[in-house]
Amino acid sequence: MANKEKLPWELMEDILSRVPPKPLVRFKTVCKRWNTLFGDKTFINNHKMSTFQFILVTKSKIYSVSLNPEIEVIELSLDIPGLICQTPDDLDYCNELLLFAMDKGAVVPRSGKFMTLPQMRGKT
Amino acid sequence: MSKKMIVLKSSEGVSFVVEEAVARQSKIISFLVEEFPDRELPLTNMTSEILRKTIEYCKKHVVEDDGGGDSSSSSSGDLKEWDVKFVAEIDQPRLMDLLMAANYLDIPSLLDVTCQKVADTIAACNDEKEIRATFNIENDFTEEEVEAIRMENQYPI
Repeated sequence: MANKEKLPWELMEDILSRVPPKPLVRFKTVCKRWNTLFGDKTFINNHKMSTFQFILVTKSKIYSVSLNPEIEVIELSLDIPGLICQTPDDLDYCNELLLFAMDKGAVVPRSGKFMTLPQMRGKT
Repeated sequence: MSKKMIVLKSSEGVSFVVEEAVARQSKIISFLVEEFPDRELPLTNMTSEILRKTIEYCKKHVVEDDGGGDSSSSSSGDLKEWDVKFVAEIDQPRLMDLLMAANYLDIPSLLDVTCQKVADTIAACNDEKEIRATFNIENDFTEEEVEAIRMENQYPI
C-alpha cells in the first residue's frame, strides 16, 4: 500500500478520538480541519477518553462534577474557615487533576479524593 | 480433517497460502471466499511485507474451534500483550500501511490496535510541526490565525 496514500478522514477522526484531551488542545493548530473537529459536539461526545470536570459552587457548598460519561457529583467537604462566598478561581487542568485556587488554599480533586494544599500566599 | 487453505496474492504477485479460518478474520476475505471459492484472491494494493504482517496477526488471533486437544489460542491478557509488542515493533510508515490494510480488509481488532498505536504516537508528539511532518499534513493556517487560537486556549479545558 503506497505510503503517500492519504488516510481516510473517518479513520483520522477515530484515531484522534483516542488521543487524551490535553494533547488534543495543543494540536488545534495543526490544520483547520483538526481545529474544526476538536470543536465539534459529536466528536467531543464520541471522544473515547472524555472526562469533563468542573467545580460547582453554591452559597454553602462546593461540588466537583465529572462526566465520564456518567455524571458523578462529589461534595467537597472543605475544612476551610470562611469558605462561604468565596469563588474559586484559577481553574486549571493538569495531569488529570482539576485544580482550583481560593484565597485560603487550593483543592486538588482526584478520583474522588480531595486534598487541601498548604496555604498559598499572594492570592486575593 | 484437513484444513482448507486459500491463496492470497500481494501487489508484487507473491502468493501466500493461508488457512481459511485465519484469513476469514477479514470480513472482506470471508465474503470473497464464499463468492469465489477455490480462487486465488489478488490483493493488488497490499505489498508482500504488509500482507505478511497482516497474516501474522490473523494467525495469532484465529480462534481454534476444531477442538484438537490442546488449544493453542492464548488467553486474552497474553494476546493483548502480544498485540502491543506487535505494533511497537513496526515503524511509523508501515504502521500506517498496516492500519490501511486492516481498514481495507475489514479486520476490526487489527484496526483497533493500529489506531490506538497511532493515537499514542500523536499524544507523544511535542508540537504541531512534528505531527504535520509525521502525517504529511499541510499547514493551512496563517500566523495570525494560529495566534488567535493560542489566545483562546490560554485556559485549557
